[in-house]
Amino acid sequence: MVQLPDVVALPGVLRLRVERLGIRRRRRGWLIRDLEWEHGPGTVGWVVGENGSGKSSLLRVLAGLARPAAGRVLRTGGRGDANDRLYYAPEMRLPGRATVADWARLSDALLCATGGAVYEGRLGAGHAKPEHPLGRLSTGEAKRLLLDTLLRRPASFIFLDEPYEHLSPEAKSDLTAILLDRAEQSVIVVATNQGVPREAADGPVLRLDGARPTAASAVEVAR
Amino acid sequence: MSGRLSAVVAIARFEIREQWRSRAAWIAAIGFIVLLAAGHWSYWTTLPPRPDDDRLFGHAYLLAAIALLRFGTSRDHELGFDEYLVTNLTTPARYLAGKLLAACASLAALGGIAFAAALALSLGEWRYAVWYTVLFTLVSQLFLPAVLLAELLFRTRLPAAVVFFGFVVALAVARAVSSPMVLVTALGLDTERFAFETLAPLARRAVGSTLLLGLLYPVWRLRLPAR
Repeated sequence: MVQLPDVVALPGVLRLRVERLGIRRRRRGWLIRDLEWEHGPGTVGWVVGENGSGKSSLLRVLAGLARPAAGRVLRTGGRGDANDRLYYAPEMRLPGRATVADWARLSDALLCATGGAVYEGRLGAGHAKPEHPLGRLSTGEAKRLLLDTLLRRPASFIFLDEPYEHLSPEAKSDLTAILLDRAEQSVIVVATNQGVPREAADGPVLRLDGARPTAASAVEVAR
Repeated sequence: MSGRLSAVVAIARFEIREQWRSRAAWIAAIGFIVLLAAGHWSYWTTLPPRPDDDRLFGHAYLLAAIALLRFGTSRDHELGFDEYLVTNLTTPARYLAGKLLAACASLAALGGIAFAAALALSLGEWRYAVWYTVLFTLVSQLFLPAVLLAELLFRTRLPAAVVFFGFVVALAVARAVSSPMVLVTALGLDTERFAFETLAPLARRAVGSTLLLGLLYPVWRLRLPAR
C-alpha cells in the first residue's frame, strides 16, 4: 500500500483542504482531532482561540513544517515547491548587532535570488533609521520588518501566526489591507488571539477551544 | 553574480557584520593586542640573548579565537531566525554556505589583525609575524569542523571554548594511554619553529578539514527546521 505524505500538493484550483486532521500533544492526548476544513483565495482564513489551544501547532502542520498525528493537508493549485509557501511565527526575531540597512541589503539579495520582490513593501520599520542596530528596534518595529520582507514575495499559500501582536493600530490596519490584497491570489490563513479585524471578517473562522474545533462566525469573533 | 552566489555572499556579509559588531569581537581584538603587547614588553625588556618563544602569541590568538570563532547557528536558532530564512527566503544549502563563508572570512580577518599586530610589536620581524599567523590560522582551520559540531550539538555561543576544552581532555587521555605526541603528530601539529616546510602536514589536514565542513552538511541540515 502506498503511504501518502501528510501534506500533499496537487494541481488544480488553488485551495487548502484539511481531512480528518489530528494533532497530539506529547503525552497529553489530542490537541485537535478529526478536523475538516477548507479554504481558498478571495478571503483571509482565521484560526482563533486562547493561548495553548493549538493555533500555532495547526499552522505549522498546515505550512508543512510539522507532521500531524492523523489525517492530511491537501494543497491544490500551487506550484508545489517550498518557495510557494510563506510562514511567520511570533518566535522569529532578528539578530541584534546588524543594522536596518544591513537587513535591507540581505533581504533584497535573498528576495532577488528567490525570483524577486513582486510586491512593494508597505509595512516598513516605522521610525527606525537605516543605521539603527536591529537589536534597538521595538518588538513591533522588528516584527514589521520581518513581515514586510516576507510579504514582498509572491506565494500561493501564506500562513501567519499572531502577526498582529505588538503592532501599532496603524500597522495592524496596513497589514489587514495587505492581506486582503494578497488574498485575491493566495490562500491565507492567520492564527490570532487578538480577534478578527472587522475589515476582513468575511473570511472563514476556525475556533480552537477543545479537541474538536468549531467553525465560528466571523462576526462573533470580530474585534 | 548569479542569484545563488549573491544570496550566499549576502548571508555571509550579514553574519560578518553581526559578528564584528558584537562585544565579543572587540574583546577578541583588544584582548589579542593587549596580551601580545605584554608578551613583547617582556621580550624587549629581557637582556640578550632573548628567549625563542612566541611572546604570548599563542595565548593571545587562543583568547581571540575563543571569543570570535563561531558560525552563528546557535544564535540564529535561539532567535528563530534560521527558520525564518530557510522557510521563506532561501534554501538550507545557501544559508549554510553563507555561514561557512562568514566563518572563513572571520578567520582570515583575525589572521590579518594578528599579522599586523605581531609585525608592529616585533618591530618588523617578518619571519616571526608570518610564522605564527600562518601556524595559528591553519590550526584554527583544522579545528573548524569541531567548532561547527560543538555549536550544533551543544547550542553554545562559545563553541571554540568547548573545542579547546575537548582538546585538552584528549591530550590528557593520550598522555594517560601512551603519549600526547601521538595526538600532536596525528593532527600535524608537530612543527619546527620558522621551518615553513614542517607546516605541510598541518596544511594538508587543514585543507582536508575544510572539505570535511561540507560533509557535515547532513548533520547541519538535521538541526534546521523542515522546509
